[in-house]
Amino acid sequence: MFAAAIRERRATIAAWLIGGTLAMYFEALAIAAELRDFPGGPEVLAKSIMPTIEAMRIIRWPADRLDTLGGYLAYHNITLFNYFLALYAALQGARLIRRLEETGDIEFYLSAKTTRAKLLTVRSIADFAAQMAISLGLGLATAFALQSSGEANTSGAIITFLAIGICISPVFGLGLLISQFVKNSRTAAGATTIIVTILYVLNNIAEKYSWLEPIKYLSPFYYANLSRPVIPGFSSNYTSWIVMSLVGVLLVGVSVQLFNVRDVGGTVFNEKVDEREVKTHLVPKGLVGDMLWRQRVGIAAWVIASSAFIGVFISLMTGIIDIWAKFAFLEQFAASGFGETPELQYLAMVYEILPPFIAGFVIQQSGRWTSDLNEGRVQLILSTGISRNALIAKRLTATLLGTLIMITSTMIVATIGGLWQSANLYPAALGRVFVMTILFAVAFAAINAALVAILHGKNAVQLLSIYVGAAWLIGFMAPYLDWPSWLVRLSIFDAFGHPFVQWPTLLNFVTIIGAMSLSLVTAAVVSQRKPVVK
Amino acid sequence: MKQQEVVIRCEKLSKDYGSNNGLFDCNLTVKSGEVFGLIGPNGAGKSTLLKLLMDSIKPSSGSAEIFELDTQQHSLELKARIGYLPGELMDFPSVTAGYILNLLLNLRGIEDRERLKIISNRLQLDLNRKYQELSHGNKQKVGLVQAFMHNPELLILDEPTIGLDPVIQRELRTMVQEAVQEGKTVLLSSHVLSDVESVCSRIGLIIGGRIVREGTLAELRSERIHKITASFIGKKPTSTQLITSGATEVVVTKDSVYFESNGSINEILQLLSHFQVSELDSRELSLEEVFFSEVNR
Repeated sequence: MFAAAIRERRATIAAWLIGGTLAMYFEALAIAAELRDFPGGPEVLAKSIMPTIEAMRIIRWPADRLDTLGGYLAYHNITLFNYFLALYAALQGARLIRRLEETGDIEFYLSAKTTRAKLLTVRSIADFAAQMAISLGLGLATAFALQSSGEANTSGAIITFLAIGICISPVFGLGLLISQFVKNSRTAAGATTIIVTILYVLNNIAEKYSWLEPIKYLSPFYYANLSRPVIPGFSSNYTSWIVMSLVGVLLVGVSVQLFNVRDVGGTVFNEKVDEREVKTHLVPKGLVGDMLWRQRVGIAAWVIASSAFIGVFISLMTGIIDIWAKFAFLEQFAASGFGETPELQYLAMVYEILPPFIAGFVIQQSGRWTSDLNEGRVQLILSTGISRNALIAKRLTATLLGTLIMITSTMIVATIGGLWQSANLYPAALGRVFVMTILFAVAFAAINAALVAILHGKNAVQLLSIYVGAAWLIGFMAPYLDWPSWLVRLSIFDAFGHPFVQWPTLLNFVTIIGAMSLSLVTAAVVSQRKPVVK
Repeated sequence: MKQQEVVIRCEKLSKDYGSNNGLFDCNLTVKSGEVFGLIGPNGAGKSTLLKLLMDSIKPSSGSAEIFELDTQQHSLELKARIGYLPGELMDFPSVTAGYILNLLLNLRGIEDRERLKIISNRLQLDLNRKYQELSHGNKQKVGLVQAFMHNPELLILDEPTIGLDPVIQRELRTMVQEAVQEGKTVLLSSHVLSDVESVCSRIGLIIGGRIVREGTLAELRSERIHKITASFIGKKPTSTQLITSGATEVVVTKDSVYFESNGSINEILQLLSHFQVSELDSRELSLEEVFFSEVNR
């Protein structure tokens, strides 16, 4: 059972290790180049960026020894890896038993003389082993990245990541515990994600507010950050490793007890069947309405996340612009096409956060399209007389409407936030951003539709995620590492341009519209030939 | 007598999945008012045939027509006239059975909910329950309701009785019979041979992707073996005499003989007439025995 559980996770472990190694290696190269080339040296760089980093601590914290590669990498990458690994662990916990209950596979295990306690314990151990394998792999990747960039610290890198792997085990237990109280894995995963994010943010900002300070002790991120020997001069706190491991074991133990007393497929508090009349008036008239209605909570989450993220950035605007002004960043931004005034530059950058959010939403949609096929819904829907091309068109329409809600609400938040910060209103710029984000959404959704049709229920989501990750990485690295411009052109994010400042070039439009048209034709042609069943 | 219209016609219809899997050179005709049953072992090609008719998968060669319309070119037009129960249960998270069925009616552009309510009641389906929480049998009921609820001219049902309790199975048989009485046509596949035996007017036996036998139940039985047991007073025929007359599987006991005969039994009866027969029991094969005799060939 342990081996089977590990086998289930092997692709995810490999994805973490490949993605993590690439991110660590290339970012270490870029950061090393920045530290080396910054006028005045690394100390001046650390001092100059500290106020910006302080202003943005809600996103990443702590920041120590930014004049060293280990310190900068710990701040820039490892804090985020800590968060994402915790999210991964939390989701694994939330789905551990619930997914088995949803698929019905649990009956096979339990009918094979496996006790509930054993099933849950063995699968938890397998998850912990996977978590530690990922942590160790990321530690080795970081060690390799440091070595390649001339600041070797192998043991420090490995211990830092092992500390993360161990100290986030309570969030795995938390996900597992929450899943005992709710009926499906998605609700458990959603609730756990929110709690983990709150714990992460609280730990980042706790020191700023004295009344929040005690709360940081509830956050596993606080304990993980106590062991960061990847930073020169920093050591490890092994007591926190033991305490966090025990908390993790305790949460798993409580979950085992609850799992033992509840019904399989039920919750700790069983609900009675609802005897209401069927509310037929709530059923959407068409497929687009159905798609939007069934993911209303998901769309709301995307809207809140993107609006909150951009809202935070806008709220930091005044402080950051002041710092930019002091450190000659403005000329650099102007040269990169971000406009002439600090305000324009800042707003342009803020609105360029929208495409990654849109990409994330669209990729999630393509995950749903894949599930629709794999889980038999496509076959059923097409049996009502809807054509395959109509289905694609309706999916794209629903995706576009979802994106439209996200874009509009985010832009409203950003505009109100900007005005609150006494920034000017730029109607033409907002118009350009609106048009370009819509165009970007349609093009990226069309690419998704084509890939989903070609791969036919296989790894479209993974492939798209890798493309988006690679595109982002290339965009980030290219300026530092002098990579050729054609490489950047492969990224659809580059084609988006800087619409808050000016319309993108004709070549950018041709790239976006060309990708969109080609993808739509591909999706239409390929889907006609593919079966509608797995 | 009114000439029955051809509802389904397949000509050399094939779907080759490789390694001898799929459906090969299928010629099939189903006429209006018929209940045609497809039987065969797992992986024989029953569901493949139904999916080809529904244009869910594309044929490697051959053609299929429903209501004299090509199933690929007129797929959308045909689906409005067909009620289809897929062989695999779908998954529909977070919504109730009622939501799914109402949505599917909306997609078909049908406003009237009366038939949906009647069929749900007949199959004892609780529309308020979340689909994901339903048992296998209740999920199957959702599939059946959606196949029947728009009053289609043709029902294509893949393993319709799977997971249903005996009461609902009987209700379903009644619904199929009522549909036929209303002039509708039914094509179904099943592993439950007693269902096929009781409800189908014609039967096709698929083995290894090919329809190896097709006809009414009576035709299938007559084409196959008779099982005969004869008891005698005094002398009885020897096994050699019986085998020479065309009998097979001969078993001779103290005062009776058992044998099987494939085809005409005239010669055997002539042989038996030379003996004093006290009891003669001749039995046709059940569908199950026809099925097994073909599968084991």
